[in-house]
Amino acid sequence: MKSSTIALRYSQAVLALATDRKQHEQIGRELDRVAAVFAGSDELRALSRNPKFSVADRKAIVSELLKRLMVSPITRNFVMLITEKGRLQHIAEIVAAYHDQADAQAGRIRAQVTVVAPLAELEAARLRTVLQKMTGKQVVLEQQVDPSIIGGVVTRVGGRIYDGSVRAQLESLRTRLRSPAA
Amino acid sequence: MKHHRQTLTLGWVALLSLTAPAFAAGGGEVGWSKTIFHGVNAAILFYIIYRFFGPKVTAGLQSKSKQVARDIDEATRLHAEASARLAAAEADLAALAGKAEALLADLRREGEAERDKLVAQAKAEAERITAEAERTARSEIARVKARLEAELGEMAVEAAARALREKTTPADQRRLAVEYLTRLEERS
Repeated sequence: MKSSTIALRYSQAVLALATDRKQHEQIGRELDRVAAVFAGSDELRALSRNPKFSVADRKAIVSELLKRLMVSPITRNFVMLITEKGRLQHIAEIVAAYHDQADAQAGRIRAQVTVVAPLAELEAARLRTVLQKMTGKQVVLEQQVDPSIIGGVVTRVGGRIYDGSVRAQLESLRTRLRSPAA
Repeated sequence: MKHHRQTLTLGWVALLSLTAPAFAAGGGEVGWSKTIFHGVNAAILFYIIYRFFGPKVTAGLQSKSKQVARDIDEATRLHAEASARLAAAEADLAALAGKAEALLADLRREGEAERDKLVAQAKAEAERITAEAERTARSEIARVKARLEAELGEMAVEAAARALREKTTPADQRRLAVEYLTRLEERS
């Protein structure tokens, strides 16, 4: 995913700090939890965008949220900082950029795997292995369930897509039927 | 000369006319003397007339004769001129008839050429319209056919998608995942 300049700048800063403290894995997980909470809450997304909330109001609400999530001081201070700077609406993008940079730093690559039902451990391991062979990097699988693909697997890794879904095969069939040569 | 003879003839005829009644009256010696007397008188009268009026009459007759000859010449000339004009007019008429014939022929030829041209144009236009109509019909048929095929394809794909969603089991999903992995492994 191509990150914006804002996301890159903030993610580089927090990653550098977390790496220095050797907490980049933990911080990554904490940031994931914070981003997930924001992604699942319309009220929190409105808080980050609506100008009728003052910075003090936002900081108070976010502080309470972080306390409940029991995050480390680095994560807490970072999220409070972006709240103060009015960048809270970019949290998902910043976290994605954080992972991209952390993975690049560790020689890892993330693969987004779309399936109808989560892969069994055996198939996940096979997929990880083959992707590592193809990319030459350690692969982290991120599975997401999407029934619209009907069946099969879609993998996005390193800017490439390996689409083995039933939906793609049906689309291919649809295209062939539409073409004059069909 | 001719006129002189005519004049003399007339004189003698007149003289005989004058003496004839006396001779007819009969009578002997007396009758003949009167007749001779009257004849002499008539001859004298005739001579006087001839002597004093003969040249004028002759000249008048000659003048009249010349005038008649001139009139005849003039009439002949006029007749010749009229004949020439008639001939010219007839020639002109003949030429005009020829020209009219040629003109008619030209007009006929041009008319036929124009008719042929119009017929050819109409034929070409009809062929063009027919070809255009056929092309439009072919295009429309192809378009409708393609649309029907697309709709049928769309329906077939939708039906397949519906059936697959309903009937794909977890075992099928796992088999699909394994096939996917096998293909990826073959590519790697």
